[in-house]
Amino acid sequence: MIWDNYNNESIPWLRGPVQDSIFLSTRIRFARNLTGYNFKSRIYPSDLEQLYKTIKKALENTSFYSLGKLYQTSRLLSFEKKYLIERHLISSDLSRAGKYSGAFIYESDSALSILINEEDHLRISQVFSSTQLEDCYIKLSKLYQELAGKLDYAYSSRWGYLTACPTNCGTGMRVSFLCHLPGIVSADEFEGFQKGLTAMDLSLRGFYGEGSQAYGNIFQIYSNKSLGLSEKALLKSTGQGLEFIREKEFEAREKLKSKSFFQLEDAVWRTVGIIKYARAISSTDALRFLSTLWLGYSLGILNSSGHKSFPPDLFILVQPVHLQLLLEEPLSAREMDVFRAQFIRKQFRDETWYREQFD
Amino acid sequence: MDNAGNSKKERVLCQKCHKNPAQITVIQVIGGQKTELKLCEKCAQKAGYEDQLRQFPQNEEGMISELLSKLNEEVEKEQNLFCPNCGLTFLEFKSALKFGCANCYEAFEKKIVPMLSKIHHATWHVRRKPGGEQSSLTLKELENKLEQAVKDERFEEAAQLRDLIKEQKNDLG
Repeated sequence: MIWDNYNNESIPWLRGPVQDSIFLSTRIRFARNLTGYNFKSRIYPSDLEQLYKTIKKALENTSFYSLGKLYQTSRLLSFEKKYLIERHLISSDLSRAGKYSGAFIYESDSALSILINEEDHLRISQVFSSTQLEDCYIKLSKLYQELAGKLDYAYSSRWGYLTACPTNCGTGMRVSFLCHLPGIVSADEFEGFQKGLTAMDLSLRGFYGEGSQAYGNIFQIYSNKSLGLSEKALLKSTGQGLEFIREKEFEAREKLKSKSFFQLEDAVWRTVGIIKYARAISSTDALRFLSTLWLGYSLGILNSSGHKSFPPDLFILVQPVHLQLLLEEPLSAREMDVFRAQFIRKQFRDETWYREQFD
Repeated sequence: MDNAGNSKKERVLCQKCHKNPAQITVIQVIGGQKTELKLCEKCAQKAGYEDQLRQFPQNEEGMISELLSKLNEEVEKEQNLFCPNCGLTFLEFKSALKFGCANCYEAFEKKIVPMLSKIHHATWHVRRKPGGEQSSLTLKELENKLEQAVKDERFEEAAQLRDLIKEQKNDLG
């Protein structure tokens, strides 16, 4: 089983050495297609198998192949696919893709995922915790270099790397951040914030991608320009975007603090009470409570004894499939809520730096 | 030059012969000064505007039907456009916004320029090279492209090309 290799009580690459009170993770992705094959929508069925094998063979000859694992989509159980989606390592598009598609995944201090035959023939992405944008780029470039010598990519001098969707051509590169924006959401400054993002060629969507809700005030913010600027230029502009997001969120948090500190303090302590005593918590409630607690710690309402910041992987660990994997037997939805309450309570009690509030 | 139609309620007389109804308005801008001269067909011909007269149909109906047939032609061209490599039609591309193969970019090039310009505010790929951004085209190629873009009044594209040329010249200098 896929999760035999995984520890489900924490996600190490999200609890990485660097932590932040806004940013959960930073991701960079390259989209590529191979010459000689049509794109996904027009590819000949007979070509799909060959394409898959060509990419697989190139992967097998890299130094990192033995460290991770290649999963063919058709061999994954739907449960396993959901698990990888919860972890943001595959897309729901890939989980619905045909037989000759798959994902190579390697988790270490960061996470690498290479999707084969999703929207493009190849989607290579690297995720680091918090805001390690430079490190992420350096690591991904290294892996990419190794692979690039083995595959022949569709490229034109005018449009750069040719991708199935016109939004990705050029560098084929996209930078995205998972960030926690309770300040901007509660201070009702969303509209202005979104305008600011648009002006910086950034877009925003929910926690689990396009059309999904921003549960727990968690958003994906991603670059939407890949043509007409180099990889380094995009890196620089998204770095500025990151500072913009940080500034706006801090401003909003300060505003909340000065305007309605009492209500905020009350809401945080009520949430502590719920986490301590509730006997069942649904998954959407869990995300909401986690958001309030994280805000409480980052504003100093709760004391983290100066040790570490909030463990952001909790937002993923409380998802249904991740929880189920900690158990021997499948649970009903109701039983799951009960177990979720236990799990969160235990997480906070076990971490010494939270003990002050949770014991 | 304008075609003042016959159907206008108020008849204006030709400003030259003061006899026939004025049908043509000649607008001239010289040194920032705009002058308007309303002429009848005969006087306009005498004044040497014969060519311009011929370009315009004699009445509004004619003009509209000509515009419509031009539009139809464009639509038909678009409907018949397809990628010879993968067979994707332009209309299919337009509705799904996904290319069928690498060759589609070339097959639909003229049509996708405005779309890509809207998405990326750019219509040329650039690479990073030490010290700056660079196009994968040579200076000469870029200059030719710029000339063509200006000619075709594709100004946003021309602006990006101008920047790329400046960048390359800086590198050389």
